[in-house]
Amino acid sequence: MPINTRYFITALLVVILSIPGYAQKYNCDNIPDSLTQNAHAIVRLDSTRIEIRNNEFTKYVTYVITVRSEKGDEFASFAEDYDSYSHFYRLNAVLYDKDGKEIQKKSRSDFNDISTFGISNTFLQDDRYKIFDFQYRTYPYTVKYEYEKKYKSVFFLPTWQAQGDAGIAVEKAVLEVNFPYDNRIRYKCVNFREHDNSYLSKSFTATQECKWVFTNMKAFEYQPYSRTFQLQKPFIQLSVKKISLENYEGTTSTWNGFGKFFYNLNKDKDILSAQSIKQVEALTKDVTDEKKKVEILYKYLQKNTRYVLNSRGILGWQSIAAEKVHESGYGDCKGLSNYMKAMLKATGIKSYQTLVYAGDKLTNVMDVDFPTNSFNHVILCVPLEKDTVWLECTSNVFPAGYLGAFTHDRNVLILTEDGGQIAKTPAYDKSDSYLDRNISLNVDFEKPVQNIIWKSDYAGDMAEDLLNTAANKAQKAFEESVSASAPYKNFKLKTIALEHAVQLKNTPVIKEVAEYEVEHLITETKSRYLLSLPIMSVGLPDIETESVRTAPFIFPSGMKINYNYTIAYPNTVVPENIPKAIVLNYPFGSYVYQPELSGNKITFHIAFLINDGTYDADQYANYLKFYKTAISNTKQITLSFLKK
Amino acid sequence: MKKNNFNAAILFAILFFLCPFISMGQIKPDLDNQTTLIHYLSMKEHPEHPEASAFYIHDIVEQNIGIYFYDTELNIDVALKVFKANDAQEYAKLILPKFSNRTRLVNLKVTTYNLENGVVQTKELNKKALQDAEIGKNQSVQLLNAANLKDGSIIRFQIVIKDAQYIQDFNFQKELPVEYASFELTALKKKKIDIKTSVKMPFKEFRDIDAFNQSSLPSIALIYPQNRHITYKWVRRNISPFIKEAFASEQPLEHVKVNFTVNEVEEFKKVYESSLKNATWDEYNKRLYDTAFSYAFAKSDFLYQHLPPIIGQDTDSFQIAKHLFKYVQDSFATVPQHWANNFQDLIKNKKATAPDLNLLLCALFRHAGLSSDLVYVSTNRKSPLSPDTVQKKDTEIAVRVVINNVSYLCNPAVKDLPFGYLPYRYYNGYARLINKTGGAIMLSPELAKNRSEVEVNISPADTVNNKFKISFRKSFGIYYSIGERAEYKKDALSYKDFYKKILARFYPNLEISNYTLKVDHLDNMDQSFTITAEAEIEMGDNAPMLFLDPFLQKIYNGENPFQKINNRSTEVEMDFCLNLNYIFRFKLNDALTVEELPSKSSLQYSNPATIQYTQNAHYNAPTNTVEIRYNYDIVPVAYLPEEVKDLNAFYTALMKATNQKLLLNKK
Repeated sequence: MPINTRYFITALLVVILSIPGYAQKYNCDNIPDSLTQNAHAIVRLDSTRIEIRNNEFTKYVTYVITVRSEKGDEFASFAEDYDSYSHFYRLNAVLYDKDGKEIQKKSRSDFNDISTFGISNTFLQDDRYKIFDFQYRTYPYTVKYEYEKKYKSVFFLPTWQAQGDAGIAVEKAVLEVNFPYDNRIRYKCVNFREHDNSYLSKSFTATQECKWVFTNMKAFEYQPYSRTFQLQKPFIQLSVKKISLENYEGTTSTWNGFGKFFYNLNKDKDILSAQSIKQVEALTKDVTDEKKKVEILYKYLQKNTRYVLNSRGILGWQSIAAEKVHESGYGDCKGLSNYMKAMLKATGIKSYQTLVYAGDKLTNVMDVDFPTNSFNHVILCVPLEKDTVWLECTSNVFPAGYLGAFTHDRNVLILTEDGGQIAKTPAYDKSDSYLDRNISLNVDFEKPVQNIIWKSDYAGDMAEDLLNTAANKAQKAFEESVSASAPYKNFKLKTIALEHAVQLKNTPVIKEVAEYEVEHLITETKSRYLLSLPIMSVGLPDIETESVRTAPFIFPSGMKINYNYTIAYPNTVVPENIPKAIVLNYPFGSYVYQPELSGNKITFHIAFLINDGTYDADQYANYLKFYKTAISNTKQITLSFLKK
Repeated sequence: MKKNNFNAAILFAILFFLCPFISMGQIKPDLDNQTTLIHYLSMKEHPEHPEASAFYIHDIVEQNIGIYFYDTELNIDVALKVFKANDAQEYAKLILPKFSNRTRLVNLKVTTYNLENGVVQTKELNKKALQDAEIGKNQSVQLLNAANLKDGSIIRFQIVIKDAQYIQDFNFQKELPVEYASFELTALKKKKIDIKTSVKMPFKEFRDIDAFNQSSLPSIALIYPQNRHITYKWVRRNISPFIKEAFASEQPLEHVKVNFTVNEVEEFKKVYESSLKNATWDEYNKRLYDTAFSYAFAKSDFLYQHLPPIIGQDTDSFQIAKHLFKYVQDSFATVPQHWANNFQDLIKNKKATAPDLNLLLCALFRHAGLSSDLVYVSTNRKSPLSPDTVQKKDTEIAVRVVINNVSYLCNPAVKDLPFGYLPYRYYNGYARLINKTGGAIMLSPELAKNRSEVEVNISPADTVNNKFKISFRKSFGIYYSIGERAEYKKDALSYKDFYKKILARFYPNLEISNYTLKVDHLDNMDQSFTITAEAEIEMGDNAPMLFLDPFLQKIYNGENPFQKINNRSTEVEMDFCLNLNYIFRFKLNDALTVEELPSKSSLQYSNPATIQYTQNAHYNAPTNTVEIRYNYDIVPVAYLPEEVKDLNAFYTALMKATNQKLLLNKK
């Protein structure tokens, strides 16, 4: 063959093989079998490279995922936020079929760009999202996203996870971080023991690099109520020693330094004008007890301000001036807690803004050994001589000293002039948070409508929803809200009355008396009447897994609910087949179902108790039995009465 | 002296008790009057709508239009009384567009009033409080949040804007109660204006401005000519909030729409529409056949050549029609405006208006040798076509094709219905054919029928362990299938879970295992979307008698849809003809015997029946099987609001019937 022809054929082959349609890289047949078990999707490549220069950093990401079924679709859609401190420079997406052949290609202009504007209690916010979804549903398929995102401050260094979620296998995940010599990164590798990984460190003249590589991570099933997925799989926390945000600088190698940075960010925002101070002083002029002063000022805050989020730019991290909150009557958690702090300061009481992660306790635990920005909320700590009063300044209903379920019993960071100090918020147990309900019904089989009276005591976090609804809705709208949660179908809420109190540990208590008129509880046959009385569900933790349980299960907080039914019936009937009693007792909780017949009354005592704690996987079978018995047995009370 | 004091006391008592009523019926709430202001600040709830977290004291828009339509001055004065601040946060926000260079925000005042210890406290914000924000891509706005909003506050927005486009639509009705709403427009007399109003109480018209201003009637209108100008003003008082009522198809907000005739197109439209008033249907048919729709009926070599790849090798007329319909339905996007000069352009651009798509389909049918016409329908049950008058408003074009003497109607612009089906709202009576000769056809509501079938079968799986197999199969019918397909595609997991909960209705202590849900015809619109839920079940307790709920498919989920029987304002309209057949079969094992069956039931609403329900149950001893059936039929008629009480009673009886239990004894 002449040389020219050979060269021509070679060149032709090179051209043909480089055509995208012939790329085999993302062919789904190339996925190792071990990665397809239990996997709704497989990450073919998750590559993140972070380059830190001065106080800024750029993130370069390539993310390729193969979706095998509808359960994996959500992981193939793109949603990434940005704001005034970050910006996308490059963004594209590619869709491949099962053979790895490119079907569609999209550029940045094809991505939707949406703001979060419109939520009722936000005002100014600069958060936006880039979102995209091919909405391709022929399985399997592969999508690739590539983007470059620049951040104006190392304050926003992310935590990186090697495996994004349960049901997702990972073929390869890589994190590389390139940082300057004079501002080295700090990192903490968590849960690394079980997985393949390699760590390389190279030195260059001006910069250094760290790299971690993970390969062939199998999908696993998240077992409910175990440690959250994020806390079980390997992740890397990143931070740098020196940070700055706008004109504020600090060091974050200790929690003390981290707290000092935030303290300085908010310093001198707690100043009120002379006139405002006079107004505040007038509120507490005859009061000497400090705790009483706190209560009075807290009530004033609750009555005269409302929550409005303002997180534009630096206001996402810095409190708005107290005087502005005083003038406008609104603020967010930072603004309101700072305003409360300013009012207390005006009466000579010292208090401290406190950073906290608000929400599920299991999801995000403050790492006392590794300072990072893991907070999303601010409360106020008021240390008095005999007591510390914690204030949730965004609530217009909580008693002073009560922190809601979303911030209690966790580590927090108090911001003082000497730096950050770790403390723990109060915990509440079943003696503080419970529901006791007495339900009575005098059955009249001649009438289509039955009257049912509820007398309930809600305490602690059980009372929170009702507190909020009762205070913030007009009466009729409140009644509609209560009706929406009743277990009946064809009914009317006739009356409802509430009485408020505060018990020990400052927890709220509500006594509620409600009367319902309910239809279709009774069906009549030739020889009997059937009463089917629905019971309100209690929300027992559902920890059922598809596979064998291996992880311990955790109940972060306890639960105590008692229902006592009294059903009176006329002499014209005789009850038959009274259900049998059930009593289950385990370390994690107990369930009691106790029917009793006495005179012309049938009573049911139904009690649910969950004990907070961590329980080994070998308790799972017992819990499942406990759960299924409690749930299926407590959907409704069904009684039959023979006609005499 | 005593008598005078007593009379004064009575007068005071009368005034005190009448005050709430005086202020509710007053000419216009005047918040600049201190007494009125304090009265509103003292209110604890709205007298007629105590559920409202706030209400509009007044909602006033006045606009003056000069020579050009951008030569305007707009005055807005809106005041809200807020009972619950946290529930009414949305109303404290003011969002204004970022005006162009021409348009100017001349004045802005946002005032919050509070009553503290009997004294009115005021907080005012002006233009300087506005902050810029971007709410969308290239969408900039100006924002302001009212200060000092608390429970009981009044917020007042006073805005003056110059040289903006005039406001064409004004809603008197909102989602909150409105005490006083007015819309005023002053323009040059020579401008031609088209006005449309929709209100529950007709306006009483005034020409005398003084009489108008002194009237406290709930619904008044003013037409007031002056030298070169004319003023139009509409006032509504005490408007209830908009609440969407069950089974109410058309519920527009009370509103007024104004439209100035601005150019030749508008003029032409008006002339054209007025000419229609005098035309007969035959004349209109000829006009459309000869001109606007002519190319649906003309021969085209292009279309002949275009057919073969669509039809393929099929020779069956019905299949050919389906291929052509699917081709037009799937290949072209429906757009509101698109100018295509001919079918070549239309096909090349892959998009067209709805009428053009129907013309294309009709033309393709005809070129394929099928007999086809266009059909002219009303899409509004409240304004069906009349044989006596040509109507243009609320109409659409569809296609009819006749195969083996059977007519099939379709509209390829509607993407979620199969061949042979039109949207149910088209079936409202008289319709017209558009072809060479014209003519009428009847699209009666009974033709838009949704037939659903549900079949439940339970049989022993394992006699030793008292386990049963259950199968719940539901075929949704053509119209319900549209929504069900969308729900399943949106979230298949929740959808599957929903039907597991349906199975769980059978018995409170039911243990369900090996649950699966299969769907059929998810993408095949020619067939009803069908689901089959299967599982193994066990009655998981030791009760000697089982009270089972055999009605797994409940009408309206077991809830009476007409529980609210007071103050209904709209007619009740069912969407389409519905027929639901339910069969429940339970083959017992040897351990169970029948104690009692649900009783027979037969219910009918009105005569002839527009709603019917029949229910039967029997036990077949030879096969040891319990069989329960019900049939539920409705015809889509409209019921007056007052009939809600009777409908409530009917459905109460129906709920009672389906609330019955199947009682079995354990041997």
